[in-house]
Amino acid sequence: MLFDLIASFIKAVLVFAVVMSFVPFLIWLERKLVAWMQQRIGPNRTGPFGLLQPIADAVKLIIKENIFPSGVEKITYFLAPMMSMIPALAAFAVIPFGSPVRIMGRTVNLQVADVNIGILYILALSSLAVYGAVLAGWSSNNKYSLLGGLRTSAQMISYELPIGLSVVSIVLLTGSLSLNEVVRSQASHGIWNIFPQFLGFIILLISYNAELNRAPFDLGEAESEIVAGYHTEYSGFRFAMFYMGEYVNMVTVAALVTVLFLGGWQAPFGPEIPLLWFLIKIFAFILLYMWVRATFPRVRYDQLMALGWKILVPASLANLAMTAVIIVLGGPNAVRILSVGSIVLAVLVGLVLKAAVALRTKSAPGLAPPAGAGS
Amino acid sequence: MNPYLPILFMLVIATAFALAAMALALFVGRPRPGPERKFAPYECGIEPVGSARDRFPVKFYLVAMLFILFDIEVIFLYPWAVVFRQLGVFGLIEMAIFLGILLVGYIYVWRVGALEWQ
Amino acid sequence: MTAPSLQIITWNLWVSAPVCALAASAMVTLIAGAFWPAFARWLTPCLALGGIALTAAFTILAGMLGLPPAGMQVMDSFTVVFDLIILIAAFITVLVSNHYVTRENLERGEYYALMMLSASGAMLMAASDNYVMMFLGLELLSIPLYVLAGFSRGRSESQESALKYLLLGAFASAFFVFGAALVFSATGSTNIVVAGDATERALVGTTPIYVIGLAMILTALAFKVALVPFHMWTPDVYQGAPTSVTAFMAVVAKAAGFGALARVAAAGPEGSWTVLLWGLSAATMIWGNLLAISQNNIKRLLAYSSIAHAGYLLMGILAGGRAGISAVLFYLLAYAAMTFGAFAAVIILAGRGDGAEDIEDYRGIARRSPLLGWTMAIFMFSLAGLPPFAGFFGKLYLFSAAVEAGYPGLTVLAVLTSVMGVFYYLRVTVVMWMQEPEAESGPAAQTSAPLLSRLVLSALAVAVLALGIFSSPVLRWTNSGSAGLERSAEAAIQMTLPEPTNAPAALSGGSR
Repeated sequence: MLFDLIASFIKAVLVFAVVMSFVPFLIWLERKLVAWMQQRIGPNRTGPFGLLQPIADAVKLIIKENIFPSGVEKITYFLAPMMSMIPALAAFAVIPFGSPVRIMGRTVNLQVADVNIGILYILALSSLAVYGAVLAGWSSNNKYSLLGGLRTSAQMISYELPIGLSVVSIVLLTGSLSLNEVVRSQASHGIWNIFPQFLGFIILLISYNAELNRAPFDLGEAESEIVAGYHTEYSGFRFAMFYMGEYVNMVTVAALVTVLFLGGWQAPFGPEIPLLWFLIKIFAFILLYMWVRATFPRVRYDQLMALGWKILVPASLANLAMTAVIIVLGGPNAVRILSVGSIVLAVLVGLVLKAAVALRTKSAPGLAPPAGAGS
Repeated sequence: MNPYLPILFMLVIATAFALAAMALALFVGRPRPGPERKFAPYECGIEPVGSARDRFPVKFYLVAMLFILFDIEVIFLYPWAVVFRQLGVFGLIEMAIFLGILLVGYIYVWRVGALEWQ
Repeated sequence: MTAPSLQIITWNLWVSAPVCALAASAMVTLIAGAFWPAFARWLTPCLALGGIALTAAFTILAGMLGLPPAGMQVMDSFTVVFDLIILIAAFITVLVSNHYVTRENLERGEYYALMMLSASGAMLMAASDNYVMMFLGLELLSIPLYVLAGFSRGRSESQESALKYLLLGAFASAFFVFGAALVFSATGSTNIVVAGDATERALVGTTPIYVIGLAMILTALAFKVALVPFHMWTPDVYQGAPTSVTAFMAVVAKAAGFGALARVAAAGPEGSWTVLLWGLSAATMIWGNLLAISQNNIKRLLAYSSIAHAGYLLMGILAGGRAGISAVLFYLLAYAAMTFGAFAAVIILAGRGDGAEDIEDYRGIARRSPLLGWTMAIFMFSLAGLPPFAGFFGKLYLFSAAVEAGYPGLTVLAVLTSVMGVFYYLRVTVVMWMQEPEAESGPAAQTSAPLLSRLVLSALAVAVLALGIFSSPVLRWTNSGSAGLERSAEAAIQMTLPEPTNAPAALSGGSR
């Protein structure tokens, strides 16, 4: 009892420390990577390769003057940055990041809290992140902030639907809402969920990019239109909180996708070092998001909404229907059939999209293809 | 031990960190007085015109309403998905009817243009 | 866990087949209206009529199968009679609406679809023997009505009406849920009959929680049927809503509320329940009739008249038993015919944009259009309760049921208030027949109407007359409905007898 208590507390502290120490590194990595991709140098003054740049930024932000702009709703203005940070960190609590290990003769799960509704918990907490944006936008007494908050909230709730629908398909395959169970079922199927749920994976990839408000879906903070969106009026450490929240969210999402689709801590080949493989997968994921950010231009808001409501929702519904039918009719071979069917379905969705875009461009040649930039 | 207790630890740690950081910032970065203009909300350099908490397009409300409808649909799918293998064909048919009804709503909403953002 | 066998599902599906059929037709109508807006003028009403007819066929078929209770819903003869009354009302609404929506440019598929959904909610309310299902029906009835009340978006009165109805309706729904929760916590069951029975068998003793819960449910239903003092919304909502929607509200929403009340009353809550109903009924009759006298707007007058009629109908619920419920069903049918008739005439007379709605605008209309004069006179006479029209016989059955059940005082009150009613109903007729038309005062009332409207008007007048003259076969039919209500109440108690539901033990067992 006491051992469990202490162990879980230590795990919580460790997870917090590790995730938080990722943040400055990721900030540096992103700046450096994007710089290279755009033929720039990036940060290179503070420390070797500019590695200390995020630290310098943090110090600078914390000694900045504390400004409450006139007319703000003080309490919500104060709480909003925390609202975008705390759920992201707390969501990490149910992520299993390694196979159980034995310490002092006891089995310890490498997971802060092994709850049987882990998936629901993560979905619930990640949907709380919308409050940070909308409260910041509302409380700031700034028109751009309000617009940014509205845009972000509408965008985040819209993309929650395809996320929810794609995750249901995973639950169908697993038969449980526990994330540990998801990893185990992938081991017992002998195949990672990315194959039987290929379309779901693609949908989740796109949707989480929008959920994270990252380019090319960073409409809520589009500097070319609405200054800095919902955090226009934030400076100093309160701004830093938003900034950190975004990166913590990214780590959490990467970990979630790793667990749901990439077999969690399991090794695809080579040595069985669960933690290492988990980290590798997470980083591969984060790098992919950074690459996407550097590559695609920002989409228009109508394109964003159309992509979410008219493409991702029906596609994820089709994916769900196919998964359910094949599981019922396929019997023991269901996963194998799905692995083929899911790729076929993904190709089919792609073809339909292509046809739709061609049709649209033909009927109105002046218009850019809808939502093409994001997908 | 209650399996949810560690979640509380995590929440407490995260909240404590956030509060501590905010408190530190308050302590280190003391507000310095200045002209009233210094604290005005940013509006690209000009004095703010009108109220910032103004009416905004009804489309956002529409998105919110549609979200509520369809998100509840998604949440209903979760318990179904967990016991899906036990339910078998029966569960498939039941959920097909449920989704069919909502699909009608979706098609209707699309057709009348509620998903357009012009 | 094993999957339920398909056989049970099929039987259960038959029980809810009528509601499902109507809801499915509503969806077809909705989609058709959205995809072919150009044909909405004739396609959607045709689909609506077809859907209603199909549902009626399903209802009769399901009624003939003699189905056992399905757990949440029952398909007894009460349900069949009640559903058919609702369906007839919905059918007439579609016919009456056609002229109105064309004139006011409200031709959208949603109009008929919402009306059908609302009607399916009304059917669900009357068919449910469970508070949870009844709540579902209540919401399915109400939510489309909120939208329909605000359907003429251009008119601010319509929007006001929708908002008022929404706010108060949501409040009433909350009352219903909370009341149902209290009843459940007191008796351990959400089944209406079983919950009523558990207290009767004194398993839990006298529970104030049960009484409070029942009172809250009664409040919610009293709001729906507009009993005094829960009637405040009625005149404003009825006046502002599109007239065809008002007619639908006045008949179907009210009927649904009384169907639910009949179900609750059949479970036999005694004691304070009757006192409450007595007081509500008396207050509603007096207040509704008194305020109707001073109304100048015809829609407000009909609103207050509908409140007064709710008071009479409540007498039948109070009397209960075979005679009381049968009288309620008969009166609902008669009330539907005469109210629809009156509103159909109002729709024609009001003219484009609902200009002429004051009674003064009707001066001398009968000279210009004998059809409108005669039919309106028939409806008004019937509403006033004069023989030989349907209203008279409806009141006769209600009053005699009340006397037999031992409420002579209330009956005397009802007769007196009916006499009050004669005054304001006759005033409309007098204005139409005996006063000279004045061209220059206010917007002129219209008398021209398409053939369909005139046909519907005449048919309704004939129906009012026929329901009066041939009342006994109709009464036999409604009698079978009330008998079914009694039988299923007994059956529900029988079903629970072998294993006595020990509510407190079950509840405390759950928390242990």
